[in-house]
Amino acid sequence: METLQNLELGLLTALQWHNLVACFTGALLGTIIGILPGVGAAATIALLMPTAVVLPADTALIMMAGIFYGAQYGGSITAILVNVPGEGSSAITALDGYNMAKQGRAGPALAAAAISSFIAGTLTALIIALFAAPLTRVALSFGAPEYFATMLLGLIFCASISGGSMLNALAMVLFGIMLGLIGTDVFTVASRFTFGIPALRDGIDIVTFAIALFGISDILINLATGLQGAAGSRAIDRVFPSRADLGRIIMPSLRGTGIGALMGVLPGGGATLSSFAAYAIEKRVSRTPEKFGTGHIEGVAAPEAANNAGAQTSFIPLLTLGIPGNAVTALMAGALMIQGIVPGPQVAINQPQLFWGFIASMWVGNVILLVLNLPLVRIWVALLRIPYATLVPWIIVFACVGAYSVNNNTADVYMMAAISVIGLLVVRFGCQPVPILLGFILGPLIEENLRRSLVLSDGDFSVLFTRPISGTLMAASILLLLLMAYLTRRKMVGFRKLVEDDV
Amino acid sequence: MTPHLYRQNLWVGLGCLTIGVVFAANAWSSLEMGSPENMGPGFLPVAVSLLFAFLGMIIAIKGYREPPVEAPPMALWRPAVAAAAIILFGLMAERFGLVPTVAATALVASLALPRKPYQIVLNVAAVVAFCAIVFNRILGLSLPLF
Repeated sequence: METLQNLELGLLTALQWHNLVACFTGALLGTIIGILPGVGAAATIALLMPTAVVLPADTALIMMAGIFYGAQYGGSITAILVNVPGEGSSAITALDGYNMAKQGRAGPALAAAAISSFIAGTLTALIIALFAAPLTRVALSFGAPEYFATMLLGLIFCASISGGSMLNALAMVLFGIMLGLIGTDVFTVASRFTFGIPALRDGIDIVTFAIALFGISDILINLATGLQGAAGSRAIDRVFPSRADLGRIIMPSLRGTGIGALMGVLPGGGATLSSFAAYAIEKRVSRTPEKFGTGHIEGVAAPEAANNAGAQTSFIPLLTLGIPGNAVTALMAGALMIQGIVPGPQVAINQPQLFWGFIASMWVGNVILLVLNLPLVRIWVALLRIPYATLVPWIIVFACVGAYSVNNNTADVYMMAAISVIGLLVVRFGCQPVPILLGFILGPLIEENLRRSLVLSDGDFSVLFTRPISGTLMAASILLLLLMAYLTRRKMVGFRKLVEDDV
Repeated sequence: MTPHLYRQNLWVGLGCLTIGVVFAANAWSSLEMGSPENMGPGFLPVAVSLLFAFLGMIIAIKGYREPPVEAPPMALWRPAVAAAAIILFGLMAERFGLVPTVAATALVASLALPRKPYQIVLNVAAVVAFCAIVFNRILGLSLPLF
């Protein structure tokens, strides 16, 4: 009953005309920018963040979520049409999707992606609505030690599955925490890690940091290495799938939704890992596993459903605990903080309209994407022909204006340049930028909660282990670290590799 | 051309080690450590930096033992041009106003990739027009047009 009332409130909020416009704008912008070569979902949100923060909180959040789904769908479009996955999460879609496109079945492949994403989006929005309220109640019983333990586990988990060497990823988490600590300590007003630079006294702004690390770094890397994959497109004759195609989409979509919804909750996992897992499982339950990878429509539907479901359930830790688990939710957390809202269980209680409006908008966004995308396929194909050289000045100018407008201060622009060069070096030396962002955002929160825990316990570190919830989470963190050490010794690159090998 | 081989993780590790030591020393020398029941501002910075340096050491040792890998080919002047465009924006924004700043930034950024002059001019003009209308008129950015 409560859930239904909440959903009704949410739908009423999401269907207010300005929120509907925000959702539509977000989904449209997200799709367009997601299709443009070399710009992913995180970069899109980072670049549009300065625009989103001038809006009221619920509208801004709804728009950013729209950008997120849109960009993800845009990534699938490029994966299918030109074999260039815009996102890690659509890499697996390219396997069968691009092969379908080569056989002249690009239309049904795109439709399969859209329909399976819609199925997943609808079911997952319901799942979130069902679980959000009870989880929020659990989260309310959390004290400082529980928060510390949860965030620690989140950071370690993120490092363990972010790809590449787990040791390097852990180092990147710590690097992010160090960058996050730059600035004035809120408890004692001491300047930390400022190295005598006055501009660093206020710390590095999250918007500047995100634009630099995802928006600009991506450009620098693409410029240095050359953009992968040539743009080119093929003719599309039929967009809508046949009845037989539709029948083949349904079951893989449902299975993909289940897998994605489960894996998305795990911090650091979200969309990418769940799409790999869904593909592997779909191949296993199929009677014709040999057809996967040759343009099999099930191979498009399952991972697309899973990555959409995973993307949406990855909002659960953010909404209930206030802990972002991946780059996109980290950016949303940053946007909320700018609006003066601390993400966490209090949001659902104090601002039910914001909370449930956001959840309902996920479903509204999926409807918009379904309606928007299939008829516009030809326009999307045209967008693919825009050369990267045309885009670079646009993105750089937008990023500069965005960074400047945060505080009306050129120091942020210089900081953006510096951080983006760091991002380039990080990728150049085979490390991952996502753990840096997560460490940057969670670092100050981890410190605050550790300090509070120790004040409560008179300096006794065992408080982290003796309370049941935080003790369990700490034990999980330690186990995870041991498992990572074991896998590193065995020369396994990470958990992600376990799944990828299976595909 | 022979591929350039190097021990990637050795350099990653040494970089982390150096940064960790510098940050730890900076925090240690300038901040109060405090006690566990009343943690000072320096406690976590020193702890995290030292842990970072320690991980760096392990990565360096591991990297030293690994066989060298091929360095990916990179044209570093291209990202340097893009970074220069950003710095230029910072230098010009408050002195010259939005239109000249955006024009200069977009122009320099255009030089990072090969293009025909007329394409660059058209593209830069479009960027300037868009920024003048959207950022100045619609979103009310504080920078004046000129």
